[in-house]
Amino acid sequence: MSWQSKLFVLFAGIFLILLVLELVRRRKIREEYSVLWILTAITMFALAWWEGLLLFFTHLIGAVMNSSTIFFFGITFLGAICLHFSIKISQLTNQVKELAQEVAILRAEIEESGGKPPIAGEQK
Amino acid sequence: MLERIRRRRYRNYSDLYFIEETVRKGILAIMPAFNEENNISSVLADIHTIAPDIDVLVVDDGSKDKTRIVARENGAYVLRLSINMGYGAALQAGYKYALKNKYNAIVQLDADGQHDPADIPTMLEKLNNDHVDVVIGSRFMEKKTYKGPLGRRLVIGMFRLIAKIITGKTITDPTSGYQVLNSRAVNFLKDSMPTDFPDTDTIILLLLSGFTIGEIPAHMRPRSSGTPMVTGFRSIYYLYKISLSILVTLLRRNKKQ
Repeated sequence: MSWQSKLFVLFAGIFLILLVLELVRRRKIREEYSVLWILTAITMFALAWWEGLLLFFTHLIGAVMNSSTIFFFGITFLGAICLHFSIKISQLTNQVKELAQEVAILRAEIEESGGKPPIAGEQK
Repeated sequence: MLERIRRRRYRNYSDLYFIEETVRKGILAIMPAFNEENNISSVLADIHTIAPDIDVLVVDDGSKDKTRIVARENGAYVLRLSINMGYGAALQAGYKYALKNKYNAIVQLDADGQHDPADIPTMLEKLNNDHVDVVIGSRFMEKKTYKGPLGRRLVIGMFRLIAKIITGKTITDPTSGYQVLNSRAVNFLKDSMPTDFPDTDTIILLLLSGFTIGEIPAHMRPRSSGTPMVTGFRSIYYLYKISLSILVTLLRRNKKQ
């Protein structure tokens, strides 16, 4: 791998790690969602830094170019992140559904018992 | 400060604290409704004429029109979902409500008036006399009662065949949304209900779990207004979704009831 691309991947890895850390610090990302991003960045960094490891994996997956290996791992990790999101979104959808149903039933119970349902945020 | 908050909350929620546990029992008709203000009053009136002693619950699935107001004015109980969550989620909310209020059985029908409430007494009779857990209002038991598009009839025929192969039982209309369920079946489905819409997959799940299903010929009325649930592009997704759902139903380990 040429020193330019090596340098580029190293910097990209460092940038990604710093970016994710900063986002976690600002509470824009919860810790659990940072794991896969950090792993992606570390893998990219490690492959670019450690020539032997890169050569080994390049040989293993039968790639011609060393940079393909780095891209391959990058895409694999991004795929894992997307799957993780799909799982989380499905969970969230389910949780929202449960909440909506429970709120609806509570509201119906209050109305049926003759009271007026409290309006959210109302100050009395 | 804390005391004040507590007192305020007490005043606002006082009704909530004194809700009496009412045991209603009997039959509850559940109608998921999305923007059906034009249809719902006539359907409610029909149910009231045909079966005056059953309660009706309209589940307003986040409608933007006056569905819930019209429903309440016409003597129905109303569950209002704040967000539009889909037919299955609305129905599931109705199931939870029915279980909470200890109803013995539920009738589920569409709010657009396509399901003729005239069939309700027959369905309830079948549920009682034949000792089945579920009764389906089928569009295909009597010839020539249903003249849907050819494509739809073909798809339903296919699902009927799939259900027959998997369960060994003939359900002439596994896609019908017009059903009567006893509380045992409702309690079972409460937790294993698809969010978008229950269909052949639910019927197969019920049969595999040891529930018994009966059918009666039901009559469909043309819808008076509004748009049908499955059209165009969504029909392809529908096919995919139900097929996948049947497949994973088979792959899951089903508990015998």
